[in-house]
Amino acid sequence: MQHDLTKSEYILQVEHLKVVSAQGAELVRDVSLKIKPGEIVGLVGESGSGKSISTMAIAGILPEGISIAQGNIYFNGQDITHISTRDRCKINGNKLGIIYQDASQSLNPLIRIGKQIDEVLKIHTDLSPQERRNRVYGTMRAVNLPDVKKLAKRYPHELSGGQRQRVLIAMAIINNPELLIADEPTTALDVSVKAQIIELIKLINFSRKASVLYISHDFSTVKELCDRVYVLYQGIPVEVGETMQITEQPQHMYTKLLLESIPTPEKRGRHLLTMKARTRDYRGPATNCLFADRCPKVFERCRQEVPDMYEVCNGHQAACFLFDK
Amino acid sequence: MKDNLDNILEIKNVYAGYATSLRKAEYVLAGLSMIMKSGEFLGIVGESGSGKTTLANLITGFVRPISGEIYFQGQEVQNFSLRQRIKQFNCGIQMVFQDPYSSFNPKITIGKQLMEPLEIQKSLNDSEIEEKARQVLEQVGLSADYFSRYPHQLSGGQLQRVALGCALIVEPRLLIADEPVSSLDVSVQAQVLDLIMDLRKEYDFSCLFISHDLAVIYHLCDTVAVLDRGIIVEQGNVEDVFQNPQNVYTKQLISDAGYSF
Repeated sequence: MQHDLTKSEYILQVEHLKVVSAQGAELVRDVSLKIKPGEIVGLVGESGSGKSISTMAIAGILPEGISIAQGNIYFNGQDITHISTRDRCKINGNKLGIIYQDASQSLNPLIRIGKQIDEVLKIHTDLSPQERRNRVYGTMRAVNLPDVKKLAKRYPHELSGGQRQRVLIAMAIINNPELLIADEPTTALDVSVKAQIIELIKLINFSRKASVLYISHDFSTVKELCDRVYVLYQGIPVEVGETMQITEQPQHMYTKLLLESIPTPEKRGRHLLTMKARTRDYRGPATNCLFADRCPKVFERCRQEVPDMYEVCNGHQAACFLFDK
Repeated sequence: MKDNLDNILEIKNVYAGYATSLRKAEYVLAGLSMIMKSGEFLGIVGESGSGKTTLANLITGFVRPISGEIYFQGQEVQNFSLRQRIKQFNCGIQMVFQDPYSSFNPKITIGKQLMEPLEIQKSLNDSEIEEKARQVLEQVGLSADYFSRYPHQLSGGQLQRVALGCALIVEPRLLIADEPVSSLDVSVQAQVLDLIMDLRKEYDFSCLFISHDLAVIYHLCDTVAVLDRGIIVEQGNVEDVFQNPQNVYTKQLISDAGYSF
């Protein structure tokens, strides 16, 4: 296969990624996605949709027993699908920053905050201790942590949830990454803190020119933050498009279902769902449209073939036979 | 004895918290007062640490107040003996928790867990209990073959529906729901919200619904109380409070949520 990716075209390109467990369950079936430099891309789906597994595959941190069966991942034109741990360590924490979901579990409880942030610099740069310290303080200020000199000497448990999340963000951006992966960074946080973190990610994207892959199940934050959105269902993207296209004119029935599930003032006191309830996820190989059983517009072909991505308009695509012209 | 039975719940100047040292106490609830009307769905909103869960635990009796009075259907609950509490209280007040996975005994089938609250009450015989349990299982939207399944064979949303069934099977007057949909996916959350609405028509109960999600509260509740650092800073009709907040904290909370109600 030929890939003449110029460095500037896509920062991240994932092609037909398939991730399976040791038991053969298909956790990610066929995910393709592209991120341009400076773009904020959302990956939306419910639990079991494969959104976290996809990002783990991109970051090379898949759990024991889960592996990439097919497909390629290109970061800056370089194939990073099966690179060695050594090469991986040069990328992660350096050009690829990752913010994890649970800030309290991602920090070492026995190491002071300042030292944990400094560790990233120690590994990836040749700066002197003095330069490193200045950069740690500078980055901590950049993520709006208060009173940085004092805070750097604290332990994780002495910080609030929002502060811990900011520390994680500081660690992820200290080396000015080209791509920032944020895996549900706001789920464990209060509304007001959530809004602040979203603002912060926007700011990092703007001031540091980092592309962002934002993983979430929460459409309200995606709407706020993302340029483009991929909607995932059972390990396959079912709809791709600009955020406005997806949220205002969803085409795939699953996206419609997700959007109608969100309580809004207009729907007050009324039933939310009109479609069939979710049953247990099917983990075998896909032989038909996976949403066919729940789809109100299902027809013959949906039960016989797996749909491709079909163009709806201007880059808005949906994996639904209704758009196969 | 109070005789105002319109109010299912009345809390007067309650202080609750924990001791940080021998002489000092940290108050989670600092002089909280509120009234809940019979048949009302009252939403409690507030940030983490504001005392939402402590309030729920206080009403159910898991936490004892340091001072203050709590009246349930006009009766001061602290005067109850343990026996009275179990008998009268348990069929009067029921609770649904946030995490459905830790709400069930993994070694007991769903059917048995549904029957357990009725067995404790001893008001029905065995066959009646089973019949009632099967009926409730159907009401929460699960087919009869779930009756003999174990908790690990169910998804989070299904378990949360069973949890609602377990709570409502004794036909309580008051249901305390502590973030019952927070750990669920959006579409599953929608299912459970729809179910709560259906069950409200079926069983006539009041509900204290705790959530940090303002949209969910707006969707489901009649009235809302905003909790900030252990006191209620604003309470009223959901529409009034969300559309025209008076308190600074409430205003902040609503603008942060980014909704326009």
